Amino acid sequence: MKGLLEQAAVPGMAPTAPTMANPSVTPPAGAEPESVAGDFNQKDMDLFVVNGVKMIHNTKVSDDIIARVIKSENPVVAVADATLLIVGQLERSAASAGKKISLTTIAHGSNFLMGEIIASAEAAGMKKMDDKTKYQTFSLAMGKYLDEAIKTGKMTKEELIQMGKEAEGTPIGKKMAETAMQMEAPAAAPGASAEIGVPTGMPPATVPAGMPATGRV
Amino acid sequence: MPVAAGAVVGGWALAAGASVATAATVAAVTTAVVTGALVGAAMGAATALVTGGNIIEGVLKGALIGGIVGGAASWLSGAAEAAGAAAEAAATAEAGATAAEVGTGAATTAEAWTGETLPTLGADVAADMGTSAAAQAAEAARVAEAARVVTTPPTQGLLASVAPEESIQVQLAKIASQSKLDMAAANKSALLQSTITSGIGGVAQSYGNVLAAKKTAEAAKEAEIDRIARNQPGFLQTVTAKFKLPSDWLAILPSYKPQTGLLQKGGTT
Repeated sequence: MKGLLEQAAVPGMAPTAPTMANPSVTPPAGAEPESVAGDFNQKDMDLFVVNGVKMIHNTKVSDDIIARVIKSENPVVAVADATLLIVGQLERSAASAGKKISLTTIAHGSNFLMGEIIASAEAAGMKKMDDKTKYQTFSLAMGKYLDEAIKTGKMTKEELIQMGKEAEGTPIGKKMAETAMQMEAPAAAPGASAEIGVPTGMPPATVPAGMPATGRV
Repeated sequence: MPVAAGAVVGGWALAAGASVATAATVAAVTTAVVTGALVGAAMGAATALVTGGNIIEGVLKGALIGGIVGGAASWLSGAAEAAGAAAEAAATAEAGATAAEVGTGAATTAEAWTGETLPTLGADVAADMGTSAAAQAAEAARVAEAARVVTTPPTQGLLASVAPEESIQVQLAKIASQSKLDMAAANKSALLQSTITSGIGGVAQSYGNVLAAKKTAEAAKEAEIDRIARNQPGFLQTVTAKFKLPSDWLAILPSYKPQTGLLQKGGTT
């Protein structure tokens, strides 16, 4: 099974799992339980992104969204909401067309669409976002997406719990657990807690094979 | 209309048949960091769910750690010092307004969801942005080459890395299965009773029995899920008791109000 919550061991090596270019290695259907996050699908992401870009640059949508973002006192929230707006519209459009897009694919595609919105807003005068702020924005969008998914019943509690456990079993999930264990314990004072810090000796995560190592590709 | 350079590149690439994903846009964050964020988000959300915490806050905490593991340490580690990004109340109100008022135009956009239309769409996007054919061709060639080098999606199997002991998925499947059996038994019992107790009163009683059985089964299922989740060596069950979100992260949390719980400062419950 493939999916968002995974990574290849060595970037640049030949793929070992199904790809658009190498479908012959697709595992038999039903060989494993279906992942909640679903498989990453390059073709679906292409469609998702191009439809989203087209939507973002639709005159009315663009004017509305960019104006909102630029006028916003908190661009992080505004960009996250704008991205979710586009993503929601794309999901509905895809569903009405009988197209099922995996959560994995949506997440990666949303990253590109968010980048597009940020770039457009910056071009229109929004203060340039630094990397940390972009990351906060992406994280907030993820949180709102999952929160809304539970509230609306699009995703069940069981599915979300399962997804969390699937994530915990991945290489990067295990690294995160190690990171957590290396964090300093709360200070002795009752109620005190440690600010997050960077543990020493933690290697950066490996980029999934074939995925761009930088935002600009 | 605001135009982003990345989108133009994407249109060019599509016109040449290249991949949008690998050639299109200026992504918000790097893919490695995205992967870390998503893993963290899933873990954080799940933990928040079973501990009764705020899902968005759980996601932010998980994403923060995931981002560090994903290679964003250099700029995320300074997060604590970057407090005061924005006013929370204004942000929350604004978020609602944005969601309510923006997007009417989105419904007017016709999307295509077949691969065959992709090059056409790409050309449309490029044309919308007023790019020249020559420039498109040159850029498409450049991007296509870049796409050829980096066009493989993630590969490794997710469940293959799960520990050999009975996984959460298997346990949850058992719960769901048992729940259905319980429900079936309850329904059967109630129907049997209704046949014995003839008349309207008997039917009403059997209906009540069905509802009661359903409620009991659902409560048992919830409790079992909660028990399993709590008994798992969950990463955030430890982590959330050890650190608090930096203030600039709290500032983006909708309607954040300090409260007790695993996902809160101090983490004591």
